[in-house]
Amino acid sequence: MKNKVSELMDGELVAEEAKDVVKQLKKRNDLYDDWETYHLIGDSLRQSSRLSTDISKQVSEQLKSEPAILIPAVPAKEDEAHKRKNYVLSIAASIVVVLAGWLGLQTLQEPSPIMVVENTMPVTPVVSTASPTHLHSLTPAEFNDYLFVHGEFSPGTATRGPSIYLHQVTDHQDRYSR
Amino acid sequence: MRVIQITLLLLFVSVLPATAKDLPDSSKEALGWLKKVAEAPRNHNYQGTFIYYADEHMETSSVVHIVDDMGEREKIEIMDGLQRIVVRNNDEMKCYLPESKMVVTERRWFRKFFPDILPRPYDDLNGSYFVKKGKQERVSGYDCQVIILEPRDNLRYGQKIWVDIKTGLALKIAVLDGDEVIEQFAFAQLNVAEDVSSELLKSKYSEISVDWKMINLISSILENGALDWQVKNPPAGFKKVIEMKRHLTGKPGPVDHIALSDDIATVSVFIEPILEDLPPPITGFYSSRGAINIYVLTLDDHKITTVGEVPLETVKLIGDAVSRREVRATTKH
Repeated sequence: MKNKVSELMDGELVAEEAKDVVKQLKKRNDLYDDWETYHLIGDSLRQSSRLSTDISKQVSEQLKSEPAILIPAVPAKEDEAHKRKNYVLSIAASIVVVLAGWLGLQTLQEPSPIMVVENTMPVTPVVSTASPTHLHSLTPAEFNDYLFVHGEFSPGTATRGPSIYLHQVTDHQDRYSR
Repeated sequence: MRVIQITLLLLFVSVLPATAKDLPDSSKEALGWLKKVAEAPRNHNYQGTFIYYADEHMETSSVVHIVDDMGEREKIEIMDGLQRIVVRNNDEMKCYLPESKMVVTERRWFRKFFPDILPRPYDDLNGSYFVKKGKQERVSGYDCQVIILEPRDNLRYGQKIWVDIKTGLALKIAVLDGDEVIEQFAFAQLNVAEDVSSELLKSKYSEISVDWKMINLISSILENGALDWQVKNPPAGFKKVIEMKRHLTGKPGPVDHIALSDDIATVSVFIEPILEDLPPPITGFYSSRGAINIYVLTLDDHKITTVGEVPLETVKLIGDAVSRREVRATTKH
């Protein structure tokens, strides 16, 4: 039977024979020890850096003897520094959010002055009395005719039937920064 | 703290108002090239295919253009998506919509069809744009001179035009927001020849469309100041081109239409009464494909919709500049 184990290792058995040998390996400890020994010899001959040794027993013994550690240990100094960094970052983030919100409200409720220039003078700035603007959703169909007549049927800019491309501008603040 | 400083700076920059750029006068040579572009469609027959590209959307159109003793005639067929064929006889235009069995008629009030996009004359162009010569490049096998129209403020987009050196036809046009191309027209194939057959101008729907629904978009072209509404003090460089009353589908009555232009970009203002039995209009900014922006506001029980291939600032300035005239003039039909 030992020869059969060796032949199984070398891949020389047909499927049916291999099945039988595997069954025997499961049943007979002596054959299983031979199986492990042959692998160890093979690894040694191939000069493998990782030898086929069964360490499962040693590992389970070690686990039984050591308490389970669920919280990773962190050096005390590093922990304090980490806390301080998080605190500063959270304050910074809060300031940015409040500032952004405040500026956003300013823009929606009291629009920033936009330059209006007189018809005859190219670059004479005058502050406009622009009314507040609001952003809402809108069905694209409403603008079909407007785009159609504005574009004089021109390709690209005129209507495309029900699938016309129209999206509400939510980033108008960014667009104003051009 | 550096993060806060950068954020503050970005937010501060984002609320800066429109500014003008200090650019020199356009050279006579560069303006001369634009003169060629404006005159070329009146001097040459051509047939070709051009592509419109914006926001990752592409649309192909075929064009036949003939100038002879009958004047200027043209047929443009949009090849992608829903069928649309536009046949133009001088300033009279017919748009065939086979899917909906409709023929829409319109009068050409501004040059919009690529490559015929420049008005004549355009004396004030230098006030709004710094026109300069660029490199020479090839487009569709033709040697072209690049002409760049750099806006003098942020109230309009820039333009880059590839001009066929031999004929002066614009073979490619890019609309620029800073360095970013926001829409583009370009010939993929072009044949400039004297002997373009006028048979090609016929729409295959011209005969079968007799039973189709006819819609005339213009009810009347009006004299200057005939509408109850006006655009008072529009942004620099923009002038009124035309006033009209429009028939729009789905609207119970005619809609007032005022068109403005800075010789390159056009802006339309549509004014209509708010109907009591319909939900109130929704005001705000909207953006369509490419360079088009839209601004809706309400004033004196009227909805004012401003549409144009200009930045948001400009549609807002023009929309906000709309006011009622105090004395109403007579209407000419």
